Amino acid sequence: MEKMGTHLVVDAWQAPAELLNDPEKIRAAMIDAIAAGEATLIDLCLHQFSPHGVTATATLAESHIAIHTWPEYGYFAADLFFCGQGKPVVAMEVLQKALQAKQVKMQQIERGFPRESIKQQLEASISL
Amino acid sequence: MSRIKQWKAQKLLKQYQQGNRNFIKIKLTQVNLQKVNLNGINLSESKLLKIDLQQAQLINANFTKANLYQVKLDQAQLVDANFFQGNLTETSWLKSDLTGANFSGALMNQAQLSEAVMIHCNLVKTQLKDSECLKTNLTGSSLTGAIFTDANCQEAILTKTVLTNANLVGINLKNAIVIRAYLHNSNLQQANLEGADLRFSDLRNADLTGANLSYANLENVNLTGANLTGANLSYANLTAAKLTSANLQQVILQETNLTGTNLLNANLDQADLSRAILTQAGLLFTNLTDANLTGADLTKANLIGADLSGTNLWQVSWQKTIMPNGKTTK
Repeated sequence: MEKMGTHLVVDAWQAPAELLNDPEKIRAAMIDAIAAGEATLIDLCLHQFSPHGVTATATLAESHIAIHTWPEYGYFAADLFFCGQGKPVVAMEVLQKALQAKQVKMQQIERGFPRESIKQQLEASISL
Repeated sequence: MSRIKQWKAQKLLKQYQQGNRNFIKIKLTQVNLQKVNLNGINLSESKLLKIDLQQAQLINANFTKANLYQVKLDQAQLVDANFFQGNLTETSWLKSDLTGANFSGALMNQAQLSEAVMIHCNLVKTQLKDSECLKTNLTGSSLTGAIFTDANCQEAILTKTVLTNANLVGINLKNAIVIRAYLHNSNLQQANLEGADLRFSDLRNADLTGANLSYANLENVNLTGANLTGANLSYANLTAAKLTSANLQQVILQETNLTGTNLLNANLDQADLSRAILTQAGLLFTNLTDANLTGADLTKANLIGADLSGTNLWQVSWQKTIMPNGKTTK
């Protein structure tokens, strides 16, 4: 496979509801996670849902981090996609610590496409 | 690889009116294009030297890797325009609307940006050395890793601006509004922040060596691990600020309001705290060696474990103060 990046798909729970419903705390946690993960922040967008819940997305030079919180369950879902450089696992550790999740399930997925498709593309361009 | 072609302004305007938007790698020099409408134009990799585009409409225009040396864009409409990796040296953007524009990786040294609207701009790793940004509105913009040295940003608005890892040495932010900004790990050596409003900003591990923060409002700022050696914080408001493990050697805190400030493990060696208000401040394990606390108010302050060797304590107010040995004064 031609690897394009690493994607962490994370479920975290047993986190304090007040933290998961505080957009500014989440904003600060995201910025700390980005710095710790050695990534470069381009844009950060947060939305506070009514009556509760926050979604935050960070556009990075290295891809993205997204987080969705359910304060009523003490749960948040995060995904961190880093291509090339950066340390997504370190970034996630900072997020977990900042949002005080006691339980975390982290799946690491290597992202990319089959090498065979590059060969086919090259062959197609030569035949043209 | 195609070469850059010299174009005449009239030809460009005619083709634009006919619906052409792609003008990649063209060259225009010293022409007057004031007030033209070129919304959505693609001028990527073009050379546009000394062009006058004042009051032009350039919404969503693409100037990726273009050279705009000494171009005038005063009062132009440039919402969502793209200047990625462009050469914007000595350009002028006075009072222009640059909301959402992308300047990532661009060279903007000595640019004139006073009173420009730069809300939510991407200025990641942009070089803005010696630029003029008087009253520029940079609310919500991202300047991660930007070089903003010796820029004049008096009265600029940097609310919620991201300046993590930015190089801000010698920047002038006198009377600027920097509320809830992210300045984590930024370099603010010798910066002028006199009278600036930095409430709730994140300045963790920032380098403020020799900075002028006199009369600044630093209420609730986080300066944990920051280096403030030799900085001037006289008459500043540091109410409820966090200064845990901060380096405050030789800092000037004359008449500074440090009510409820957390100074745990801070180094205040040779600091001047004369007439400072330290009511309910947390001074646990602080180093106050050779510090000057003449006339300071330490009412209800906590000094457990603090080092007071050689400290000048003349006319200090001690009321219900918890002393280094744990005993409370009357």
